[in-house]
Amino acid sequence: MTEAPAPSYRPPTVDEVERLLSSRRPTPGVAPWARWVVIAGVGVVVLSLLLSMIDAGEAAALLPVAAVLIAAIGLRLRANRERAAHDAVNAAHELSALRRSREALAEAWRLWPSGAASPSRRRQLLAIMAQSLEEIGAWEQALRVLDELLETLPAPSPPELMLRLRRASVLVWTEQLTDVDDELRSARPRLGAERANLGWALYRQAELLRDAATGHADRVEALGAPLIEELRPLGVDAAVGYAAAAVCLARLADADQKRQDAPAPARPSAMLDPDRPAAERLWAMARDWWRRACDLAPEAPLVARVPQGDRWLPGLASREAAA
Amino acid sequence: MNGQTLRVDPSDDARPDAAPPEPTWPCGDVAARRVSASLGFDRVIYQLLGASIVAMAFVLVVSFPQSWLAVAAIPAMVIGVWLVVSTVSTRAARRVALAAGLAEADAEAAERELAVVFRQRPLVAWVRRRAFERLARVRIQRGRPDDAAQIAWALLAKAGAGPKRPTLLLLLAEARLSAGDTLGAYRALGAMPRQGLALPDRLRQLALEVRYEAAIGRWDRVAYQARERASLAELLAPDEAAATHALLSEGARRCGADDLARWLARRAELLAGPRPTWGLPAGSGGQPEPV
Repeated sequence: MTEAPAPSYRPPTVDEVERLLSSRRPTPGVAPWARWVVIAGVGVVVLSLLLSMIDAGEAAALLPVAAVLIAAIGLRLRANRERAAHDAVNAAHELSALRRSREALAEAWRLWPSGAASPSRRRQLLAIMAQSLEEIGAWEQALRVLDELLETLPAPSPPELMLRLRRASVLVWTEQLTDVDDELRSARPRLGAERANLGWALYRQAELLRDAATGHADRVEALGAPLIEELRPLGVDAAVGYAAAAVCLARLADADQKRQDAPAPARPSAMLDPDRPAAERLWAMARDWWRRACDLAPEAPLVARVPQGDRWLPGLASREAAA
Repeated sequence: MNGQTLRVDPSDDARPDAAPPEPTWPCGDVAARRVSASLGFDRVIYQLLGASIVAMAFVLVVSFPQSWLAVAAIPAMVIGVWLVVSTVSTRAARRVALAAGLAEADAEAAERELAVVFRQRPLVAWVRRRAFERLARVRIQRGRPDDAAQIAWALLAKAGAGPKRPTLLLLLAEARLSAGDTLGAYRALGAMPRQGLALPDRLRQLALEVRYEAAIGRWDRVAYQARERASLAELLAPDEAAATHALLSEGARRCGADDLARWLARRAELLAGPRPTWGLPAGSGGQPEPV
């Protein structure tokens, strides 16, 4: 599902991303080519009228026909160029869908100078770049691209909400945890009561990633099977959420075990809750979530997509093997 | 249901033998002929429009060689025709998109929307073709795959070797498979190009190939490269991805690759939730273990 960065690969820096994004801005209003078509058309008609007034003969009669023909040829060439550009962006999108993130990013980068002037193509290219940078683990850069993409979307709108929730997940990686909380808090009222949708799935995933990063994972143990339903709209990307749940539970189990192993006076009485699952049960739950994650996606890139994943998830696998 | 019909709508009691409502567009051979005629008619309209513009321009230029009317009328006519065609086509394209959105929840309503599109003229060719493609999909959904096959066949005949051919072949294969015509599906899938397919077509091709191989009982073919096929199938829509995974799992199970079968079955369930049969052929007995 995700692409583990090769040692020799260097993703673009934030400055390079910044320079690229500011190198082309969308053209507001009518495109320059359309303006030129209108100006040329009006010019030809005016010229023809003048020629007809001064009795220029056949030239005046033929000029509008020639103008229409030239305009038709020009529009046809323009349409061909548009189709070629559309196909190129589609090809980049396919690379991104197939998780060939570095190639997708390189392709979107290459197409940016020619494609970014058109608002719709600009959005597509930004989406490809954001997805690829996230997959590569270039979080600062992904955040910059997501911010740029957010500016192109009307607010409030469902796509904008989805993007904000994705942004919240990325913010976990840039350690802007207060911003994560703010994003999640502002998104919550907009999500509606129906939970089986992409919005809730993204929300839950962002929450899990935050909990995995902070270690405040007490709620995760209560989630259980409904989490599968909630994350299902993400498809195979739900694996990241499952892996985050596994990290949360592993951290919880570890803390529990340390408390149990500690000498009796060091244990606060509040931590001896009899209803609380024992450490082994928490470990078992963590293993279950990790197994589900690995059912959906390869292990190595998953470890890189979850905060603290490199610390807890490989250990979990060996724990499973030992068990 | 043990042969009994489950009645959930009280109005069923009043009309116990009520047939499903007839589609608004003709069925069977008539549908195919109408598709052909409709696309042909569009072409005739375009030729007539082009010819009338040329004729009128000629008449104007010859009759009023020095007149501003002749000079201005020619571009005005071209632009006018272009505006009319664009406006009608844009509205029709919106209706087709609306029908696509409706199709999942209410196939009948989707077909009504498409019926409006079919009455509109003049349309640019791609809009009408897309409307017919959508109609074929709606017919598959409504349990009329033979109609869908007829429509797909008619569209294929018009498309020739153009870029739409793979998509139409896949539509034909899907219709044939849904009708239980495995030979027809084989022919359609066999005519597919092996290279240069767009990703959506590749995904449809994979799903249909797996369905076809399962339908003819070639489980060894289903299980062939099951892991690689699963990694592509995960990009399909959730239900179809899960159904494809379930078939791959069944193939792996029948070929003795039990671990692979279990992994695929678990993926199927994670992607789309538990299903009682996963659309497997009767008697296959493949049940994913709980995730």
